[in-house]
Amino acid sequence: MQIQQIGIVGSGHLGTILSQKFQGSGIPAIYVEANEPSPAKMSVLQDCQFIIEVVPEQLSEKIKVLKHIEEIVPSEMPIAITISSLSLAEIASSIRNPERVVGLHFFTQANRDKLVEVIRSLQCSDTPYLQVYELMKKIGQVPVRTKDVPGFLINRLFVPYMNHAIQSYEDELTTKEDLDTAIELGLGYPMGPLKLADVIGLDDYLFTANTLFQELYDTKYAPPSLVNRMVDAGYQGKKTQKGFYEYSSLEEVKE
Amino acid sequence: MEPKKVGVVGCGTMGAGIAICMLQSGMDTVVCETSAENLENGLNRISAFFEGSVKRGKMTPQQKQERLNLIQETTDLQDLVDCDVIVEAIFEDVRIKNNLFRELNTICNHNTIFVSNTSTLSITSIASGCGRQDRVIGIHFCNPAPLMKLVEISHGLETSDDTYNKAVEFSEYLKKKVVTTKDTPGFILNLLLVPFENDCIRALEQGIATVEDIDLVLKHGLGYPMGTFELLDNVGLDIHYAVSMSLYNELKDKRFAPPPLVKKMIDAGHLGKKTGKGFYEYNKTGMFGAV
Ligand SMILES: NC(=O)c1ccc[n+]([C@@H]2O[C@H](COP(=O)([O-])OP(=O)(O)OC[C@H]3O[C@@H](n4cnc5c(N)ncnc54)[C@H](O)[C@@H]3O)[C@@H](O)[C@H]2O)c1
Repeated sequence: MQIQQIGIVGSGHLGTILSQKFQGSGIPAIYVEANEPSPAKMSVLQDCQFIIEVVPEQLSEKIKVLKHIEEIVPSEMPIAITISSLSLAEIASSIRNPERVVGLHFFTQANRDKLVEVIRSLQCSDTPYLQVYELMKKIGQVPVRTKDVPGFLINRLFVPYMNHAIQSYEDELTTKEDLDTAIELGLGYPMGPLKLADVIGLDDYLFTANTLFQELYDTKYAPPSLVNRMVDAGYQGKKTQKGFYEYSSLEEVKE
Repeated sequence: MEPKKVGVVGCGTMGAGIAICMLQSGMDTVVCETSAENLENGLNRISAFFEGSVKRGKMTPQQKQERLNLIQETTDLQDLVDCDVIVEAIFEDVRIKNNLFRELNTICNHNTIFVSNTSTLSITSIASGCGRQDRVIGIHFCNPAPLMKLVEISHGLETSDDTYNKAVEFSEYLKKKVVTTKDTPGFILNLLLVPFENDCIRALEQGIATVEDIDLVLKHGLGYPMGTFELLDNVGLDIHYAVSMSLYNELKDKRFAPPPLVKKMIDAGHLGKKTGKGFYEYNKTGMFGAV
């Protein structure tokens, strides 16, 4: 399928990155700011083949913009929604044709920005899902297919591992350096779990783990109390120069 | 301590790898197996490794021969009498390992240190009542031992500081990077890896994603060198099942219990690379490609 035009609706960093990716792959993309959605501004979307929505992760905002899009574009046009922790089914239900809504979970960290999770909700039908999956390949992403479950695929696997590693450290199984070294040398992972937590930010990690736990009520997703206490103490990782490790401001600048 | 003479009991996958590390460091190495046939298989593993190094230009045929000349092969534990360090890499069974150490205790010099390469068992249990609990310690090598830099050292409740220090020196002599853990099941690596692998298998069972897509997420999203299913196919589903069960029996945490799919695959003979089919399929020529 030759793609004539993609419409990107939203604002912020991810929207800019996506526009660049489409441009780089030779797929024309038009970008509509979603701050003040008006039918006049939105009308350019009519001639697109796909819509990608990149509104910040807030249920009411997402639904508001989606309803505007729905009024403009044909009822069978696939609409991809960027999402990181909300329920896709809930968002999709807010419009008349939920079967054409597909979720996309992007990663903006430099070393994993190729990955995108393509999320299929209960309502989603095959054609739009496959079209969005193929579209991601066309712009050089590595798409993986996953379901609309809390944490989707990556966080569902990542959070219990991280919790377990942090708990083992809290239980004094070994030192932080030895824990990280073991994982790096023994499993070949690019970074040990405690260093990685510092890079992610303990506060952001806590939020992700809590979100999963509050949906699944399985203790493997519950963040260890050490994370709570560290965040209470302001030890958020690299960005506050102290997490599991200490960082000099110099180092901060270097990276 | 500069160990002059060392021993390996059990020359399977790990024992052969550990013996290679010892030979690389120029130590006189006693290799002990249960039967002449097992011994021959084990020695073949060792010489095949060095043969590979010669082929890749990493050593000369003469260097290979020098290393092989350091081996003293035996099926008699008596030959281990004057070793400084003995590493056991026999079956993962606490009773069998404990019996071995009891027997070795009656044979070996007072100063000989007994090392267990167990992945999941307690060092304290393996040492229990063997007669030299203070000179028993865990050094967990990673597979393939000659290539992997890391060892996890763990002391049992009765291991002495002197033994610990000697184990660290011995490991450094083998050019390994040491991390120290408590005597808990799975130490660090298997403690964190095995439940993670089982979580991946559960995600597959629940239809959250395919084998290929789960591996893609791990490689592209987390930067892991290999996807979980590629890794499990290399390790073997039967081994994964045994390791999971052993950890589960110790820890009684359901994350360690092997998900039902593992048992089903074993029943169907889908053990991974070694049977040509696991989570992926392998053609005959690629079957024994990995170390
Ligand atoms: N395979 C791995 O990835 C791995 C990694 C780290 C540690 N380990 C641990 O290393 C140990 C050995 O594992 P493996 O994979 O090499 O097993 P293996 O089955 O390949 O080898 C075991 C060998 O021990 C021999 N043996 C058994 N009882 C003996 C005895 N009483 N005296 C002398 N020899 C005896 C057997 O004949 C066999 O050749 C286990 O404790 C295992 O948990 C395995």
